[in-house]
Amino acid sequence: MTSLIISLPGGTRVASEDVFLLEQCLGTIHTAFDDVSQSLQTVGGGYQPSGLSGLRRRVGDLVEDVSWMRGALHSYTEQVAWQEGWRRQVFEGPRNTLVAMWVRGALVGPAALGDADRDGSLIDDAAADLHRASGVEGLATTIHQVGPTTQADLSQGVAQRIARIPEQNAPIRIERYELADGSSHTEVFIAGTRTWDPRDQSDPFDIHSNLALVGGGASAAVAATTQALSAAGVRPGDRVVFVGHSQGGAVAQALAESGRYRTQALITAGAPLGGEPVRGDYPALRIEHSDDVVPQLAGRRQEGQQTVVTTDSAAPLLDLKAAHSRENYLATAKRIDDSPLSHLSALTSGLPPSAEGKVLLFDATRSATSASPTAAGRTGQ
Amino acid sequence: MEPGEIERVLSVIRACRAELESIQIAWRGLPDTPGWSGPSHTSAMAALNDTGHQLDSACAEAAELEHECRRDLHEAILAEQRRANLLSLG
Repeated sequence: MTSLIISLPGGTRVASEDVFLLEQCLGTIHTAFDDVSQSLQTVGGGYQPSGLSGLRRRVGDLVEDVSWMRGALHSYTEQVAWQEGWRRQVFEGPRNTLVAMWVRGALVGPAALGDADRDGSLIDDAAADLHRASGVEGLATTIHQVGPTTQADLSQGVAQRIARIPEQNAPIRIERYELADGSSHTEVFIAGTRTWDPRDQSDPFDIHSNLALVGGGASAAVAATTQALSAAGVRPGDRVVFVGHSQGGAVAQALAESGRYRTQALITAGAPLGGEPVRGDYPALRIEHSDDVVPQLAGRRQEGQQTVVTTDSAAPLLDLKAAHSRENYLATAKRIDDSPLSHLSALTSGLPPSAEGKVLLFDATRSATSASPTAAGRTGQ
Repeated sequence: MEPGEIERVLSVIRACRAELESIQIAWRGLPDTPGWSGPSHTSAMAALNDTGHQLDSACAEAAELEHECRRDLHEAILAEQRRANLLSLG
């Protein structure tokens, strides 16, 4: 199992967990040395033992040495971030362009290939083309509660939240809490793609919503989740934590970024979000397995306010389903919770510590769709 | 020298020594960095190693300094007792 690779907000610093941890420990040690140095400075007056000046010098040197090492580590993480940005530009940029050219060429014809270095060069544009070509544009959805309202304690950390992402028979789970100060707190957990057959247009959590989300368009899955939030009594401006796996992660980010709610945190796992950076001012954690192809589907990563944690899934080689599975992302989330790194614990430390609340599960169907999908290659003719 | 003044210095030195020894324990527990390799790692590890030795020396110096302060305190107390005895005899 490889280390957790952590990219801090803005993509300005990237390193493995152990390097950030070394920097953090050196920070604590630097503070302690500084305290010792200042204490030694307080020794004055008439009594000056002969060994005092030597110890002062020694501790002063240690303060400087540790400060230098922290600075060197900081520079190293910046250098890795720069190299990572360069690698993505060199390797992922051309790959995205090729995929986009292939999609546009297939849909619109060879004439579109000339645009490949402009609008159609990104995977999100290609996804938008595919979504348009599918002809599925209806956003009207109908939601219904599944099962009775139950009780739950507020989740702590990342893993408990990933574990609460629901099964696909009820892809939206909403938890409502009344806090001790009288305010309300909501957490919404969203499952991934349920219907992969493009001919089936009854499900908002389908491949068409995936394309719409990657293409930056309006998605029926987002509409259904918004509707479920309203049904659960969540109003615009309410404080909400969004959590999602796969397509559910993309839905979670779309809602977190919508400005409709006061987003408290965003946690996504294996979501196709590469081209969609987080711009809001809230803690955002994106977990990606390096052997999971789904996060790659949205194209080259755009840096934003999200903290990205990448590692391998520990799934067997080429077992793409296992690499993307929620269970394996849960195992990674547990590693994140177990990490002593303050960069990671800070992502959920600002959330309410405990509360009891109610849980509502929702399912959704598309209540209206447009005409049947147009065959690929005929769109635009 | 007043024993009280030496005691004040001794308490500072004792606290500094305790702090340095706890830093020494933390230093020995610094994480390994398998996720970091290359020339910068090699030079940083050498610097860490060197600083670890400096810290050991600082701990030893703090122990010596504490010993020096205790000795001075003992002598100052004896001197004060001698002074008191002379005064009572006089």
